Amino acid sequence: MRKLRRLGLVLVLAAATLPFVPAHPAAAAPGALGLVCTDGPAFHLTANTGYIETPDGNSVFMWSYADTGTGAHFQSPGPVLCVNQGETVTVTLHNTLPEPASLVFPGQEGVTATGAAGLLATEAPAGGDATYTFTAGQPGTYVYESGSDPSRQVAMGLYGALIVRPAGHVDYAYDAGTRFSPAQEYLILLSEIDPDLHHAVETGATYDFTQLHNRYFAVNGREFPDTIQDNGVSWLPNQPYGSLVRVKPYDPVRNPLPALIRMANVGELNHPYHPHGNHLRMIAQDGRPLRSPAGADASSEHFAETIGSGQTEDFLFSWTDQDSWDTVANPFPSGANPPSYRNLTFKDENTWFSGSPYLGAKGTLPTTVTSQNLCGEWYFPWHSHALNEFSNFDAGFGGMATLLRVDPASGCTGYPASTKILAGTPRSGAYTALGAADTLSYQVNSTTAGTPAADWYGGFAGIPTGSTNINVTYTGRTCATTASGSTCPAVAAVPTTLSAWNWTTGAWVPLGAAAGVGATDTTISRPVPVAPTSVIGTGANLGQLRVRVQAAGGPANFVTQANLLLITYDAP
Amino acid sequence: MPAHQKIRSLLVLAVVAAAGILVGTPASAQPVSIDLCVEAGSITLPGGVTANIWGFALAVPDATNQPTCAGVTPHVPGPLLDIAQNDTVRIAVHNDLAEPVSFEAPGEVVNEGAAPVPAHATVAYTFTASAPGTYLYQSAAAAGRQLAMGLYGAMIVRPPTAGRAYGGAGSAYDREAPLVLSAIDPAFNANPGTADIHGYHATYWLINGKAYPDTDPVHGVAAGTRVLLRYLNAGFDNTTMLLLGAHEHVIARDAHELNNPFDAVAETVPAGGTEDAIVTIPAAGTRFALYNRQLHLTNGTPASPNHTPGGMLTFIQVP
Repeated sequence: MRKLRRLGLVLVLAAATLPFVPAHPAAAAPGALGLVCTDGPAFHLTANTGYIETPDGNSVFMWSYADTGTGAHFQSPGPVLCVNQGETVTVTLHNTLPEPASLVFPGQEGVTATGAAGLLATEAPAGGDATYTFTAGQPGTYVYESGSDPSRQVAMGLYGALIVRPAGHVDYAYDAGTRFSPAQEYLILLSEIDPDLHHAVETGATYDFTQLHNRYFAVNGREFPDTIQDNGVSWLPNQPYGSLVRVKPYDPVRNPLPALIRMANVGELNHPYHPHGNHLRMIAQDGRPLRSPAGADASSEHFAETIGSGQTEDFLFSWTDQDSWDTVANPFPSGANPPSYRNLTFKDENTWFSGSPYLGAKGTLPTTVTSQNLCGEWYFPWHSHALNEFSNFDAGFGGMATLLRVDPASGCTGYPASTKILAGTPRSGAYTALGAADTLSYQVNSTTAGTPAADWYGGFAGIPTGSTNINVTYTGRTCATTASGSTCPAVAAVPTTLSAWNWTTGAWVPLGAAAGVGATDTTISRPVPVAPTSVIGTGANLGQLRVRVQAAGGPANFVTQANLLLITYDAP
Repeated sequence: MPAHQKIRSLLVLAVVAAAGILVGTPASAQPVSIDLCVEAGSITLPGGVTANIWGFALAVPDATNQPTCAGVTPHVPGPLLDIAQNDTVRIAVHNDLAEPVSFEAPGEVVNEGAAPVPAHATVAYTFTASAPGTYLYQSAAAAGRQLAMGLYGAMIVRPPTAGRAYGGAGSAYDREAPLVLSAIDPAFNANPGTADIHGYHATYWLINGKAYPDTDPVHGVAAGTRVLLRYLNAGFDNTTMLLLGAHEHVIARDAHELNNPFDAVAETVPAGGTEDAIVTIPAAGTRFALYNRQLHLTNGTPASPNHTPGGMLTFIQVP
């Protein structure tokens, strides 16, 4: 029942991403990032108890709703219930708690139920069941939570999100004007925990809500930095939902649609939520779009928005590269320090900062700093601006925070870190000449016996395991052996083949057919046609990738002058 | 009190701006005179718990038909002041406390400003109710101690068109329910003059001075009834009220109509603020819970009678 919302793997810290404990053996694994739906319209929930882990090493006793279909595996928060507008939704609640529990669906009308009468909602007695039925109302983001002794049960964790989608439009939040990129749909569900009160419930001591003093502040049931881990990581078995937000810069052609950020606050407190990086456009609250009385758009942009207890707010988000620093077209002012807002340091001199003001480039960092940056992507914190909530038990940079990751528009770029000649002899230059399309080139003389051939490969290092969408670009020319300086006497164009080393099969994989390369710079750009995992080395060859440039043809001997060799890829 | 003065002048600006809209509105200019008493008393909370209060009460006529505070009972909140737009209002505050009080209704320009009412004295405050809406009135003296004690109430200024909260047709309603949100710390109220205000710790959470199960449901509605909820937050916390089974259409904040009203189920009213929202009763459902989403749904401590469910909870009920 868990639907794949997004492919891809996360971050730096997630060295070994393991699959989520499967909801159903046959179900697809959840996407690593983004909203993980449990699809309806029939749901079976079990109210039960379990523990969550906090980043400071604590574990906290919680109550929550589990998906009965998983064997009622405890999870906090409860499953994200996804339905379509107009569907008849039924939620059966089995209550294993020692007191009556229930469900309320704020924002839904006409909820009927079977079970025992309760004050705010029909209840499932301890050990018993209740069933709730309603017609999914207008599209939007909602919450569900306990309507039984809420100051105890909601504070203990009996809550989750309910998503109502417009029928037939998974890419609309509400209507055509709120279209978003379905691969970038994110939930940010805010909550708080007072571990003393939870301990009181666990041990049967007196629970006094008037003494509430929250110490943990969560996004999707995790506290930072756990929030940026993938959905379903093995080391957070009861907190399946990550909240890292990952986008590429807005581009009218390649990336025109915004991300959808669904925020919900199931805590007791109002939270000032502060997204760094770019403004968010608030399009709706409590499942109702913001409109003028005449029906015009009344959305508004925010860099700090209070979300009230029990409230939901939906935001469209496009990240625009305001500065567009570019090494050639728009160089960063020399002597200026990189903008401090990108200088994101965590603890123990760890940083996500690339060291460069150029998106997609890595720069130099102080020698004592450990960078968690993959290839020059940028990170921005999205966090509660109540600074006590930006902590784990009062220790800073934790709690109610996650990161926005902005990837380079064209993916990551890698350049060779070495070369090796397979046939022919070195003439001049080194791998460093391959890093830019400039006057420098790496030159190889063809063989002089048989069919002349200049055959070599560039070795790339540090390509992250799990990278995808690998593309190779080569620019070079073929000159007569009388070449000198910048002159390139013509020879007949020589067929030139690019290939990539397949570590799995131990063979070169051609990247398409050979292209004729003559005495003017010629660019060949080709995708890698096999699984990325087979061309990125593992074990002793971890992160290595090899691209072969094989020029072969006669009748005359020649010189290969390689100007540029690079790969682009999407980092995990 | 320079800070106070500053706030006053801001209010003047706000009202001047609002007054511009009112050009051409016929001024009724009815002189309205209200005599308010400030008295010490007590409040009975769920389970028979009592707490000291200071509250407003309406004076009663004496034998010579003069207003007197003799024998009146103070309430939390104070009496609802119901005023027509453009009325010229005179509110005489008779202070029976042993300390000064004051009168203010944020949003109204009171001619006498923040002049205090000395102990056991009377001061009359006057203002013109130039703009319709939902207003709090209160004594802001003693750095909030008097608010903690209960010196606040609701004032409604009604526009000329009956059945509307404001000038616009979108503010039309069939029933109204003023909801004064506040809280009480009985321990603080036991020693209002000396209790450490830093130690103020409310344990009873009130709608119109009552905690559940003593709260009064909003009765007499049917499918389609437009119920105007007039929220007035007289407490010290920003307060989020959650409505189950329906959305409310928020039309005004702090007695100003919104350009873009919106729908909400969990709406936060800032401390000291007011808000107007219209619930159109849906066809489905007969009982719509309205409660504090900060989960202040308990009374007193776990040892208190009627501890839970309690607090800031009421219902809109059909019929």
